[in-house]
Amino acid sequence: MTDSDPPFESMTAIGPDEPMSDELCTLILSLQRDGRRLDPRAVERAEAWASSHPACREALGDFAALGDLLSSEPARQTSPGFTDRVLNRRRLLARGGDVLPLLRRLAIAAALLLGLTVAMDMTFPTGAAADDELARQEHQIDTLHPDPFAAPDLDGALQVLLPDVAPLGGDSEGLEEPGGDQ
Amino acid sequence: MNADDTRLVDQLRAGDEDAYRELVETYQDRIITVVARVAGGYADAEDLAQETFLKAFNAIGRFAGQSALYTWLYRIGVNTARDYVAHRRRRPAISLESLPAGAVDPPSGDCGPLEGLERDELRVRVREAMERLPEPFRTTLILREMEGHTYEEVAGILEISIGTVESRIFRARTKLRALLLADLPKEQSD
Repeated sequence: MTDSDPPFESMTAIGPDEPMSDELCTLILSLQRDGRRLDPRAVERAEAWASSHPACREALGDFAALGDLLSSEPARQTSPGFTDRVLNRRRLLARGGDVLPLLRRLAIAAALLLGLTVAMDMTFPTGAAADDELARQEHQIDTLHPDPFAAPDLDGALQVLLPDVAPLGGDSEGLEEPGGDQ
Repeated sequence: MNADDTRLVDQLRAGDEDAYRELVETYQDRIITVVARVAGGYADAEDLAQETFLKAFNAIGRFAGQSALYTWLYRIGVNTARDYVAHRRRRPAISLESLPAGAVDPPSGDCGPLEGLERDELRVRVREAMERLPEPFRTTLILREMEGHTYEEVAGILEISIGTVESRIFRARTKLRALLLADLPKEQSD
């Protein structure tokens, strides 16, 4: 048998011609013990099988022992004050329900306001362009990278930053390599 | 639905505090018993019973009266406990296919190996094995063997067919037995 549900409506539809086995025998006789109405011929065959197959009788015996034990498991009782705790909790939850509609209304209002603001900004965008003078102003860093893909122009950048200092590659007054012409 | 149920339902729908109290006081022990059994040893049964009643209070407006009030309440309890079982962390249930139908060779004679165990010892073993039985077989077996419902009542509570009830009960018994036999010391199973 698999975990899936049976293919037929009820196991009491088991016919008298089903091949008998320990499993089927146990099934039929356990259903019978539970008061299920079965085909008498199927029951007769199962009983005949059980008389010569102890595994079926032992399984039925164990089923009966387990059923007897499970049915004698004690019932539970609630602890004192259970009813009051349930009713108190009910009242607390009922009060909490009064706050929710107000919060819900506030949340809807905030969402509407946000949506309106976004819609207005998109419809009437503010002038966030740079001042013309500012846009034209060159930044000193631009001299380091006149072309974003070229190597940085250190000499050019230094010329801008320090216009009074001669470039390193040109007349280097006063700068002589140590050791002269050696 | 009988006259008492009709009166109580009407009062509950009207928000009558005395009706709430009457419902809890009348059924609290039966509800806590079934949720404790279905949810098993790891559950706080009073929390689940409390949750059952609160759900019933909230849902009373949707109660159509097609069953007795207690049956409807009982079903809420069973489902609450089953939801708890489904969500809690516990030892994984054994797949029905992972165990053979009989884990050991049964002894000769008519007495099954479990019948020969001392009752208190068997009770402890059965409680532990029940925790490992997978749903929905476990709940079906509990409703039948522990709660004493007929097959038809079990079918109504779980909203399944009679054939499914028969199949689940048989498989649950078979696998419960297999779990217990597998745990028996070798000398007891010989």
